[in-house]
Amino acid sequence: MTTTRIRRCGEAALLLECAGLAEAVQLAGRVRGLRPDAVDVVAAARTVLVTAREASALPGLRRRVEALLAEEPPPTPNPSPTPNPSPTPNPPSTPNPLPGDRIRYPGAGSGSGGGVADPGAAGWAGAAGGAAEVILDVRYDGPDLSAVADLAGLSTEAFVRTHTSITWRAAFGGFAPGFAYLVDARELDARGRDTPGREQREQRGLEQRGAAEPRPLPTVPRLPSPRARVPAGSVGLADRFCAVYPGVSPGGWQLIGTTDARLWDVDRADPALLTPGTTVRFRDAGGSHGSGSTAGSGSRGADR
Amino acid sequence: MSLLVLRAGPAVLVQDLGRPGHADLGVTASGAADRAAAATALRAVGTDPAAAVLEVLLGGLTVLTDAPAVVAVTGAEALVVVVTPDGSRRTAATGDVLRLDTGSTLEIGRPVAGVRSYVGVRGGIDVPPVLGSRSRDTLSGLGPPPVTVGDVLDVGDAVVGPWADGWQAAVGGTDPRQPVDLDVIPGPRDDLFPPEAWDVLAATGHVSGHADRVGVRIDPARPVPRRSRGEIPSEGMVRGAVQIPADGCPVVFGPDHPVTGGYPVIGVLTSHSADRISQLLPGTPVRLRRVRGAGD
Repeated sequence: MTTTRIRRCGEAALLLECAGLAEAVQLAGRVRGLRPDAVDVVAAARTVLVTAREASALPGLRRRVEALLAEEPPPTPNPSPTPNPSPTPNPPSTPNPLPGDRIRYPGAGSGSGGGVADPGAAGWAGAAGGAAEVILDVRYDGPDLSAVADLAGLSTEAFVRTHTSITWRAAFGGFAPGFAYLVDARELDARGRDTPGREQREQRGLEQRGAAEPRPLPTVPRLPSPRARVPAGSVGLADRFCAVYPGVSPGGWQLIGTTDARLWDVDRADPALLTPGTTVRFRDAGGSHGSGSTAGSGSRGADR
Repeated sequence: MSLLVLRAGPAVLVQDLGRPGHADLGVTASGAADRAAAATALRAVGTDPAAAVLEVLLGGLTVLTDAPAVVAVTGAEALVVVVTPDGSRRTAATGDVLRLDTGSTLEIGRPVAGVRSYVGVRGGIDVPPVLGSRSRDTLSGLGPPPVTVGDVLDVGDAVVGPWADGWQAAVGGTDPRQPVDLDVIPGPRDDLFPPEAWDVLAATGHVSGHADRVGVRIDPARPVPRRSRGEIPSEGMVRGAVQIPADGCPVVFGPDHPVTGGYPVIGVLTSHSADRISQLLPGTPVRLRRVRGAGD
């Protein structure tokens, strides 16, 4: 059993409340295995929203979620090649209620690691460490870079080194199409069931730092007043998350740099470059010292 | 066939059942604000319920057809006028199924009740879908741009049956002086509110001027009390969610709501009431009534 509690969310949805981010992300991966009964699965900081096709389909979906919660969750950490935590078979011939194509899962058909042939049954490839990896070339020229580095107790150069050495993972989406909340992957790989408090996490991070482990970044407050216009491609930090703004929008995150990668493009087969489970690494494109940019589009694949 | 837009009023959008299934990419479901009215318009013209209609805010739409067409206007109660090429003019009402000859125009007047009219055309409005839907999402800008004068809207072939000749789709007129009761299923965060919060919601409040497809803010009888102030970690949101921000003024999420939100949701409107609120003018008296959801 997980610690999850099921809360009612209107006629056709349930909100699953988890102990913390790691558990929510892991559970969301398992609930995605209930597609197409689970039409939308929205992980967030400590919840998973799951919606049914319509009100009459909610009781059936609720039973399947309860059965899922009653199972022993698979071990969270790394590369166990057992990507299917959901033995519940897909129901026979439930019609897909959605017009058009479904977004592919990270890793599906990528040919690497956890490539999965049947997203419906495979749950969340990212939870098993087989998702795509994306490298983003960043010019570290954001207006808040030095303030954030100060907060971390680092020079801007050391801050950039830290930011580029961390393995980030897309935990969930929201805010705008293609906007992915990235967290230090170590936070998700820590066991989801005994989610430590932030202090413990940071403490553990510090203890681990001795080896080649990159130091974790501190949590970062949002700006006291959001900017009216954040340019597309801005790399920002807020709380313990990092994200890239896919398009121009208002925004309250502290901006540390810019990338030319296209985070969202509806003309692509996968409009979102970063989907839940994608591993993300940032690469210094040298812009922090005023030099020119690179062509720097995001490169997809396990090419680290 | 196609429709040429001669006049477009304050806001005309192409809408269908929306694009559920992409919320984990930050894409909300969107779709017609009054789902039932849109479905009725399509049913009346024998067209696939997944096809697209025109959602017309506060009337003011005139279109010219280049071929014979069958249309129905549902939702807000408004005068509908058909002018034939020879200049003869006939009036119709919301809910009438109308046959248009080549070269006829269809005009939709300003509503006398409700705010959103739905124009169903036999075959469906055919614009290029984005992520499987023809809906305009006003928050993210996905989907076809708002309809403007001079646009040519293609009509598709999503016909599934006969149209309802001589049929009149019922429209529920209401007395604008009477408060509209909106049904709220408690949860997911009703435990963050004291019991008297429901008394405040049940007292007559009013639809505020902040009302669009993203959300409708309610001016309550008095601020809705919470057990504690502040936000909660952002979590997934649904259409009809009644968020209570720190100021105690409820915000009811519409079809273009953000995928996640950080204020506690005391309850969620039923689908019927979510349709209903999308038809209310600012200033309309409303009561949010606690109901039990099926299966509770």
